Amino acid sequence: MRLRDLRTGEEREVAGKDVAPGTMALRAGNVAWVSHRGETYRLSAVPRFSSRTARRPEDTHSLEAPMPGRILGVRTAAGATVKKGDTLVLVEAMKMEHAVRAPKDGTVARVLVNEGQMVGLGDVLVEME
Amino acid sequence: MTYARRLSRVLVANRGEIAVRVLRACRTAGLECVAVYSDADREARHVALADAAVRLGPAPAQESYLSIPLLISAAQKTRCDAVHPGYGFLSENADFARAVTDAGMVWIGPPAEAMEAMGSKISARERMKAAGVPVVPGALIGAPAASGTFEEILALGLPVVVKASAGGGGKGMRVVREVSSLSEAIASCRREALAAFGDSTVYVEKYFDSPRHIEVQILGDMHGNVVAIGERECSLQRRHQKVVEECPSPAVTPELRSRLCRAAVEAARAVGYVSAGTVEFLLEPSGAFWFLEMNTRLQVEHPVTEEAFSLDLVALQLSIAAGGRLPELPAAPSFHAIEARVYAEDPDAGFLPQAGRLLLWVEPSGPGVRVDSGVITGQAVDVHYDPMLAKIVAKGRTREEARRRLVAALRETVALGVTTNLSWLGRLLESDPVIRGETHTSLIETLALPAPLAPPDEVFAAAASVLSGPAAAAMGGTKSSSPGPFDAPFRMGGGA
Repeated sequence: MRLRDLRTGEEREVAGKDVAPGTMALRAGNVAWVSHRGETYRLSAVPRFSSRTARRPEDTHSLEAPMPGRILGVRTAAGATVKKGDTLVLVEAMKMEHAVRAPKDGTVARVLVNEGQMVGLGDVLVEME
Repeated sequence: MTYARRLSRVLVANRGEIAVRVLRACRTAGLECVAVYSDADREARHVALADAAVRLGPAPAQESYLSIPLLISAAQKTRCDAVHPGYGFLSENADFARAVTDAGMVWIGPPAEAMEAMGSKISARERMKAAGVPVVPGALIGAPAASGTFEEILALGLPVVVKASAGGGGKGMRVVREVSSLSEAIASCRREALAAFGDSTVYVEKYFDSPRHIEVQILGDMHGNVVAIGERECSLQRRHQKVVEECPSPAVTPELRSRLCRAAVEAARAVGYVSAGTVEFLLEPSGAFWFLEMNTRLQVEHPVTEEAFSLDLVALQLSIAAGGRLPELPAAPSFHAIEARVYAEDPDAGFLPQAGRLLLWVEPSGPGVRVDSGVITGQAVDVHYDPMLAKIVAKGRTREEARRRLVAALRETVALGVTTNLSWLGRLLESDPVIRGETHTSLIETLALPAPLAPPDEVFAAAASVLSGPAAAAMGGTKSSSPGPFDAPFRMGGGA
């Protein structure tokens, strides 16, 4: 199977399935957590079919929640034209605010959240074209 | 006149590691202790450790840990005769202190008047100036800034920092380096201060680019005695929040220590301070120091003072609250202690807070290692509260011994299921400026730490093992035998 290290983005085809002495591994959902020689790693499987071919069209962008928290404000709407760097959504968690910004110039296709709503890590907030 | 009052049962109005810390001190002092919890904390460690526990309400702090009526009623229902607020939440709220004493209970903390005097940063600055304590040069901004006040600000010399009077934790703070951005900085600081604290009063201080953040621990009793118990170096900060603290400071000589301690005692005396408190200063390379603010509560980083001086500050708070006199306390530390705060946050993504279920949590141990934690394996780390999981403290006869012990302890700590800053803390403590003790408040922003390495083959193989396996729990060598403690596959190396 093909695995990706979530911190460095490194991908590797893995043949063996052994847990070496001194290593601990644990699965939570689709993520493997591994403790090895004093370091912690997070890895996930790369679906075979999706890596190159079945990907969405290049021009669609899903903007995801960077952390679990509450939607503090929605600063855009479906159909809006936005510039790269515009704040689209504000997420708040544990007294910290984080602005989700447009990664490029474009149009907002869909807004999937409302102000005050709780979101989980990786939930899609806005889709852009 | 006597203040002596026997305490028998203490309500700990907090959660997490500090609730655990206070519960321990109560038990050591022979006091019964009552914990409080929100619906998110039913499984939390502090709830399990107390003699009794009272549910406050739903997870949001406003409906649980920040509700004065709910806390007072919990204390009365369990017939507590004293309340310890910990830090954060209502610990610096004078109304809560008054509500506790009005209900006939003992407030384990400073008098409400002292909390109010230090609570407004502007009034605190004025009180300190009057008491002869050096204060950072600054200017008050009244109603929407007129050009007249701008002159006063510019006389300070740029850069300056705009701060909220009611503020804390860096909220609303803006550093201004050019005249042109001053009025916008004041306006946005006002907006943020109004939203966060309900008070739009702001003030401007001279901004020092790379000072050290030095704070002095003080203790006062009800008989007029105030002592300073050395300093803590808290210069290693990210997002204006401390991550590594130590005692003593590598920059403080015995002569400077006695000047800092004298100023801190003056500051505390000026407001009639009782109990444990902290006076924060900025220290310039020249040795000049300036009063920043006073925290009228137990500080997160209090364990480094405890380890360096071999003291129990919470036990002293309990004794002071019961009317006890301060004992003879050492004037200089006999050990060096360093603390690292383990946060559920992602250092590779701007230190964003993380949440999830802690599937495995293993704490370090060994000579000179102390762990103050509030979490256990299996516990959910909730988005509603502060993301600090634990404080790992190491002490040694020298600073280097303490630092090496701390690095080893951090490597020994295991946290799976929630992303933490453990590895980043280790790299920070192994960086040259930190090894040399040459720290200042903007060091972390400018320091280029070695990037995390890609995982070795063993890690990919171990990950493949748990990701390809069945949903049932299994451990290395005893495949699919008995289910583990988690509803997730768990494998350990070794076995046949």
